[in-house]
Amino acid sequence: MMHFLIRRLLVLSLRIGSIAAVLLVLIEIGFGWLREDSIHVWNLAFSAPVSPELSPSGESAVTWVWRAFGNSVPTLLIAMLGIWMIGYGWGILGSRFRSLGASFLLRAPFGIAACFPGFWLVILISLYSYFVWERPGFADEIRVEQGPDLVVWWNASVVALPLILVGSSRLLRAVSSVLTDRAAETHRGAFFLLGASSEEVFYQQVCRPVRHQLAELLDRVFPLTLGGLVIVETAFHQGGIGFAFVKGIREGSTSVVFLSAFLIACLGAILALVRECLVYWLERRES
Amino acid sequence: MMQNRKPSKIKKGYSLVRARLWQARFAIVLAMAYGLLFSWLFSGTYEEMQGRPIDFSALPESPVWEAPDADHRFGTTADGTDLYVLSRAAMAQGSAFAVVVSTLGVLLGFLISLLFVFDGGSRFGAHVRDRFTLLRSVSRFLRLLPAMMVFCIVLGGSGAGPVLLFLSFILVVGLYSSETIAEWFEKEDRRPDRISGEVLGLHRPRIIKSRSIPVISRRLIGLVATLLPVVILAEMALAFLGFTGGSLSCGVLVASGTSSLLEAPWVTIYPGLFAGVIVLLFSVLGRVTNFLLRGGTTPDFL
Repeated sequence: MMHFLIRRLLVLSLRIGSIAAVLLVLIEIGFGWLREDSIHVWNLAFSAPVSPELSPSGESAVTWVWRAFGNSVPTLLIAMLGIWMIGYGWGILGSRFRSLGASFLLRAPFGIAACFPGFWLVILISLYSYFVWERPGFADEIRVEQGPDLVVWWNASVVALPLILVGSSRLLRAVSSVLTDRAAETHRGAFFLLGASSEEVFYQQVCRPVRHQLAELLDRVFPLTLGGLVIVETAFHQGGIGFAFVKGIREGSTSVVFLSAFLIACLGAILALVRECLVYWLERRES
Repeated sequence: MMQNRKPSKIKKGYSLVRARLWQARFAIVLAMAYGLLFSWLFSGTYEEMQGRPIDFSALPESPVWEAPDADHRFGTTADGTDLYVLSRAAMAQGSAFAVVVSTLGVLLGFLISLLFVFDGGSRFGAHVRDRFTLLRSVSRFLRLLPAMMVFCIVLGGSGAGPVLLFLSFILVVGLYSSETIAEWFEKEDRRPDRISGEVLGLHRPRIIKSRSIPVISRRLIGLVATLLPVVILAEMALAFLGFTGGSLSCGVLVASGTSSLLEAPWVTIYPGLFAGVIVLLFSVLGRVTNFLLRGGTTPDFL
């Protein structure tokens, strides 16, 4: 296990290095080659204060992006936990009762909701809460000065909701697909002839052997969630990492763009490492 | 009375056509559904907005909004343009963009995957399996950076021209779909008849050309159909962020409405709802097309 872990950590560091290189190339293409007033990557200044449009207090790019990342953590936590709970839970449940059409019925509401633009859903929720509950509307409209800041979690859940809908829809389909393929193998029928109940066959002969395949899906929707975070945070005016990324692009601050994109991609790389370790552990247990 | 047992050519031809039509009944129904949807989106009167410069960025000093009523089902924008007409035109543009981008992107993905599939140097595809592994690793690495961020950096940083928008989408769709297409080739490689062909000494490129490519090229249509709604949504999201150069899109309409949410909420609500329904229709049609062409799972590329 230790040998495997060291090897994967080396791969992780290689990945992170490659991500940085790809990002530098992309920023040079976007801001350097194709832009009229060229900004080049060799002018990146992480410790210099960002423009007053981004931060009036004159924080450095690193501090500002790190603070924005902290604001996004509750949203990402809620979104990913929601996606995993619904995606795996309902996916397995749907496959268990697939003969009753449960797989389709459980997937349909998420599939339909995923067709609507996430930024539009966020605006609708904000409008509803503004008109019906009178507060809070958008994230930048209320500040809690005393007591526990529950508004942070409310704001995070508003932003997370469209991400959960889209992510769950994809994960549900992937989980169902893995389980349905396994269940369709003809020799599973022999267990019924041996007197096993459908529940035993499903959980022991279908779910158990594909545990590592299900674990492989752990980070499948993470890039989608992070991409969505950029849009819905901007729609909701929530000062998270996605909002910082878009604001950095609008203000032409390449250091903010690089740092926020790098941080987001690193999160993906770390989750990929967790997935690889989990799959390895499950495969070793099986063997 | 004796009957001539040999049917006439006309009768024979008629039965053949009928049989072919029956075989292609699902394809015909789907083509009709797509045709109806596209013709509805592109039909209608756009005189109200044609030739008029559309500036969504600023509100006029004295807006002439009209709430939804019998004349204007979705209400009007601040300059009095009918929102239903505008939304339909926006979705027509968005869907045309998605068709071109998905088709060219999937073709690019197909060409990329072919680079990994053809390998005359080994038998039983041993080297090819290594190549598939390489492609999978590259694809997994690419997924670490969300495609939406790549679009934002390139389009937002440069100021987004239409050519760049097309090229970046085609490139991203191509790169992300190549893994799925290569996976199809890999599955085809594992089929018993392909393995028997190789054992009997048939050249791998010949097997791929005569057996795998016809099967996979049919599935590409399903892949394009599945990617349509995804591309429409991605384009709308970028337009909402203002990274598509201000071209007409439901994302731009929704974004323009956010500055007057309390005074005229319909400017935001109806274009988004309309876009969602159209994307849902494309999504259902795409899934059905993909299912009928046995496309299997499709890539999650955003």
